[in-house]
Amino acid sequence: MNTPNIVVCIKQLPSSKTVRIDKKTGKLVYGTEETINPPDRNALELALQIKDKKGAKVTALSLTSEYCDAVLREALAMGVDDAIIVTDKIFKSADSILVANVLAQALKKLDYTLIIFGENGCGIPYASAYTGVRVAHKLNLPVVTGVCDAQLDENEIEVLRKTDMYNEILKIPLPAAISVRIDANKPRFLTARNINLAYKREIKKWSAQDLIDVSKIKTAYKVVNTNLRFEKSACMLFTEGDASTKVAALMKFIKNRLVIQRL
Amino acid sequence: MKLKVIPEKCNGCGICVDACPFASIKIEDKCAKILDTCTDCGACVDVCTEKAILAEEAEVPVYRNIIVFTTLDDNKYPKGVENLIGIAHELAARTNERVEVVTCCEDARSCEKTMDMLFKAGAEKAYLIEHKFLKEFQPEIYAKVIADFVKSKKPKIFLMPATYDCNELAARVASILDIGVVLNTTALNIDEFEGHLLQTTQIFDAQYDATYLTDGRPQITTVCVSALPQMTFENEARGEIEVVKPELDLSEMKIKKIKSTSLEKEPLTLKNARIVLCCGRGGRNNLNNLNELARMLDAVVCGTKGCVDAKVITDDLQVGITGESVAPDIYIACGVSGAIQHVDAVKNAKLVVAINKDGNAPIFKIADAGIIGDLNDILPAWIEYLKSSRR
Repeated sequence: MNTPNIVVCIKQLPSSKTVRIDKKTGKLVYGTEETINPPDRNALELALQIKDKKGAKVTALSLTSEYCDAVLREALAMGVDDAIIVTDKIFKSADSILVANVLAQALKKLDYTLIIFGENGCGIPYASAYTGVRVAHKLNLPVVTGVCDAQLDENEIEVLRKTDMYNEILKIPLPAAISVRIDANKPRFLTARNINLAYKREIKKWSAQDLIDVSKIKTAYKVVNTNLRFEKSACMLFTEGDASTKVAALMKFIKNRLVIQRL
Repeated sequence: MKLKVIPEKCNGCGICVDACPFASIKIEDKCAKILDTCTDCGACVDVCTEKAILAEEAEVPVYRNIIVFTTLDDNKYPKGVENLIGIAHELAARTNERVEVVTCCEDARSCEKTMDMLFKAGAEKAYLIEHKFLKEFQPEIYAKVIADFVKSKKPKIFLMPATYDCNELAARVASILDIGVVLNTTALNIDEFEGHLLQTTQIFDAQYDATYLTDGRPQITTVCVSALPQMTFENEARGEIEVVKPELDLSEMKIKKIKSTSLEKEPLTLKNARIVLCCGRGGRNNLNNLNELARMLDAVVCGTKGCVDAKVITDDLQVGITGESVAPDIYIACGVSGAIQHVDAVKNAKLVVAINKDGNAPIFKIADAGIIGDLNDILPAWIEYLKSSRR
């Protein structure tokens, strides 16, 4: 059996401290993207677990608008064999369609058996979601979301998929793409030695120009405006009125603050 | 406009190759071939001496009406679909369009009763996509069927309830159609000038509201129905049902299901509860009220070290650096002063709410919101508030 090639696509997120609204355009602006999208750690962990069990070559692939390799160093420290970064200014205002197109073109250059994504969380800018599904569609691959565990065989992969309502076990022929849930596993700890070694390794740099025709970019999202819903600041105290008025005001505050319930 | 070469007329002279400003045409086997990079500028049409390149006026497809999709589980639709139809009505009224529903099923006749309920909620027509493979939700098959349906019916706006399954389905359909999609929208609006749908969703841990306009038709979105105002609609007329019978080639479907189990509701623990209520020393005498409130909020009650020492709370429910750490969505501290040993264990909670008699208690320094008041008043008022809001 040939060694399978696993590619893990990692999203870089800007640190939330640098985020603000541009008053003129109504768009969010933020500093350098430097933290890893949390579920992508679980995606890396799943890839490395497969590597530990069966042997595999694991490659981490990431797109950024400005060169920043902290996230890929982290992946290298976790134990991936190869790291590739695609950098271009056009990603500054990229939407999921553009990102998926570039990722698909980059993946075409790699020899892959399995592509792993982290499932999108809620706190992501341009939450157009499910980039993995789009990439897989571009590459004409079967894709399964909500994956918690995977067993890689020669020609197929068996995955455990979890949703809100049910668990299921699915078999997918290879090559395939999966996206991993944030509660799928516990990402491994980084040792000081591995972090140190990670900074001595080489990261391959690609440019978007090599992959797509930048003059013919297709985007489908226009940001009309962005509003700050609340400042994360000092404690909001409810002191006016009697007990029931205070409780009502508190409940209103809580409802506004929470990430939306689906139904 | 789309360009087409007529092979019988083309003599392969190559004038068009020189004329093309985008290098999008080449000669293959003595016949011009237009490449994917063509921008339909028409430069080649003008120079061709043989009139072998034709410009076809492409038909502009008309997208009209709003279609609401729902999954059916055992002939039941998710709660909120009726309200979603009401919301669709509100949007459709502004541009004078119709609201229709579509669903997938194994046997169309068995869902007619369910459709009657949706007609009552305001749907004017129902499409039933019937096939024996559509019995249960399978993302791959459903996505193909719905994408084909959307292509043929051309709705302007395609709405779904923001359930787990529908979110995934929306993403898959949008990637098949290569158009944008916005998930979990909390507000919908119609652009006054063009009549496009403006979709608002929460980003960055719900700290920001972002409004998007997606290109391409239809505009697909999944809606968090509970976040929008209630729009009930009473419709007397019974709409028309159209049964759609798709042809499915199962060999295209690569994903095979081996086993499926529905999930039992797990018992609430400190780790999986989304809301944690903490009893501090100030809350010792209010344990009954706390338990009652926890039951109503689906929360778990825990305690500080002081409370555990006083044997009010068992020690497996102690939160603090000598006990458990928690990271719920909401952490409600009742009569907790906020010693650092306790506060450190809840630093990952998304929202900290404090109720305390003492306005100077350190817990208010880390809390996002709080009430200064006596638990003896606040807790009964809270329980009463929840009871009355559920009625």
